[in-house]
Amino acid sequence: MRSSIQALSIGIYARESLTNGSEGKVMGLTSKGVFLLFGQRSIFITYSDHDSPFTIVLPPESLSSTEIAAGDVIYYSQNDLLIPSRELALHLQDIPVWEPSLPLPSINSGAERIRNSRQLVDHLFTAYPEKGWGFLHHPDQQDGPDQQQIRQFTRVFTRAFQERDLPACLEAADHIIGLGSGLTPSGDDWLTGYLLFHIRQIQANNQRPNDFINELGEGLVRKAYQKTTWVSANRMEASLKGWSEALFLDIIDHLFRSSLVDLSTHLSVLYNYGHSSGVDTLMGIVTACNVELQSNNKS
Amino acid sequence: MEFSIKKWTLILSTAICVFALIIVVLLRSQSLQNAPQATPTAVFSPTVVFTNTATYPPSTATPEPSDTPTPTSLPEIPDSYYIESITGHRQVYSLGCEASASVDWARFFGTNFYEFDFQNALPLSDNPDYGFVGDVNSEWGQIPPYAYGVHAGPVADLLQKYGLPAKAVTNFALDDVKRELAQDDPIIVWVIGNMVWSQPTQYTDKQGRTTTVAPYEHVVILTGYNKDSIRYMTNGRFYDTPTDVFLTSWGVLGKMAVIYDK
Repeated sequence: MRSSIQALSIGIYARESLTNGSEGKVMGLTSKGVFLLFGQRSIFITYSDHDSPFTIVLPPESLSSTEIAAGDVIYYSQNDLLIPSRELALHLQDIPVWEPSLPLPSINSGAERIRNSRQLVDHLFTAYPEKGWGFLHHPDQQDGPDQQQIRQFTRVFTRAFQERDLPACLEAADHIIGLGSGLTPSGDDWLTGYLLFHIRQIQANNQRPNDFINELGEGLVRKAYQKTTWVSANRMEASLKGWSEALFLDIIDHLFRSSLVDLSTHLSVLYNYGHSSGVDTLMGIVTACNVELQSNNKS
Repeated sequence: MEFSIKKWTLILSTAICVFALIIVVLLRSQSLQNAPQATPTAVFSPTVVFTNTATYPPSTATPEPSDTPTPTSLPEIPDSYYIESITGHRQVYSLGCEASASVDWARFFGTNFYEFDFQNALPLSDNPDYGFVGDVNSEWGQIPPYAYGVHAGPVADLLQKYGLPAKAVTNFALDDVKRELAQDDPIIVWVIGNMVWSQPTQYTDKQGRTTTVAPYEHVVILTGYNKDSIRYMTNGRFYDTPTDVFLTSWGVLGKMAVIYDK
C-alpha cells in the first residue's frame, strides 16, 4: 500500500458493521468526511471528534479528498480498511471503540422535563433562525401547506402512540418515513429522535423495553429499510439500542437530570448538524417528551 | 551553400510531416472516443431483440439551408445528427442512473456538480413522480413501494435549481427528439434496461396518486440519430439501436424525458 493512516477511534455501530473479508464501497464525499457502505450499513469517516456510533475518526487532514472517490471498492480485512485501487490502508487495530454510556437514573419530574425541553428549543431559536421541522415548536402557528401536512402526520402518529395502537402508529409513520430529502430526510430524523427519547428513558429507569416500543421500533426500522435511505434506517435501527451521537444523548439526559452545563455549545453543534438533521431530531425528542407527559396525565 | 539549403529543406519537410501525423492521430482519437460500443448483453429479459450497428459515427450531417423561416416554423430536421462533444461516466450507485445521467447532461451544458450531492438533494417519496423511491444502493429491477428510482419531474426540478432550463416531458414525439438532438441538445430519457421492454404497472401510492412504473427502469442520454437508429449513452458508453426498438422501450413509461428548454 502506497499510504496508510492510523485511525483514532471507531463507533460501536461502525465496528459491528465490519466483518472480516467483507467488501464495501465509497458512497460519497462531503466536506466533513467520507461515507462508506458495507452491505446495508453506512459508516462515516471523519476528522471530527464528536462521539458517534457511526464514525471512524481519523487524524485531522490525514486523508486527502483526491485520494479517494465515490464508487471505490473497499475491503475490510485483518482490522484494516483497504482501498486497493488507491493503494490506501486505514488501520483500525487496537483503537478505542466508542459506545454510548447508559444514562443515570432520571430525577426530574414530567413538568421539569417539559420546562427543560422548552428552554432548549427557545434558546435554539433565539440564537438561530428556525429551520427544518422547527416550526412544530409553535402549536398555533399559521402553516404553509407542507407544514400543515407534516403537523397532521405527526399528530396522527403521536395520538396513535398515546393509545398504544401499533397498526395505526405504523400507518401514520408510513407518511413520515422518507419525508424530506438528503441522506437523512427530516421525517426520519424526527422519528429517530422520538424513538431515542423512549429507549433512553427506559434505560434511565432501568426498565426492560416493553412490547409496544419493541414492536413499534422493529416495524419502523423494517419500513425504513424499504422506504428511505439506508443511512436513515441505520440511525433508526441504532436508536433501538439507545445508540446515537453523544450530542443527542446529552440533550435527552438533560431533560432527565438538568445536566447540560454548556447549553450554547451543544445547541450550536446541534443546529449545524447536517442540513437540518440536528433540529429535526431535537423536535422528535421534544415531541416524545411532551407526549409522554400528556400520557401520564391522562392515566 | 547548396548542401545547406537542401539540408534545411529536408528538416523542414520532415517537421511538417511529423506535425501533420500528430494532428491526424489526435483527430482520430477524438473520433474514437465518441464511437458507439458493441451491444451489451441484456441478461434480464428473455425477449431481447436488440440489434446494433457497431460502426463509427457517421459524420455529422450539415442541415440543409431552409427557406426563410417564419417565426412560427419549426427548424427542419436533418436526416441524421450526432452530438460529438458529450462524454459520460459510470454510475456510482446501483439505482443512481438518474443522478448519473443528470451529472453528464449538466456537464455538457457547462454546469458541474457531484452525483452524490444531486442524489441526496432529490426528495424521497413512495411515488417516483414526486421523489426518489427507496435507497439508491438497493437492487435494480424492483418496482415501488420497493426501491426503484425517480421519474422526470423531480429530476427536472432539481436540475432547474442548479440553474439549468430543464423541462420534464411525457409522450414526447420522435420528431421532437430529433429536433432537439439536431440543435445539439442531448435528451435524458426513461427506458427499460438497455433498450428492452418490461411490463408496465399502474401503481397507487399512499396518498392515492397513481403512476406507471416498470421493472428495470433505466435512464440514458440520447445523443444522435439517423433514419434507422438512435444513439444513446449509458455509463459513459455509446450504443446505436434501431429506432423501433428504442420507441418500444421508451414507450413503457410513457415516452418520458428531460429536455433542455431554451
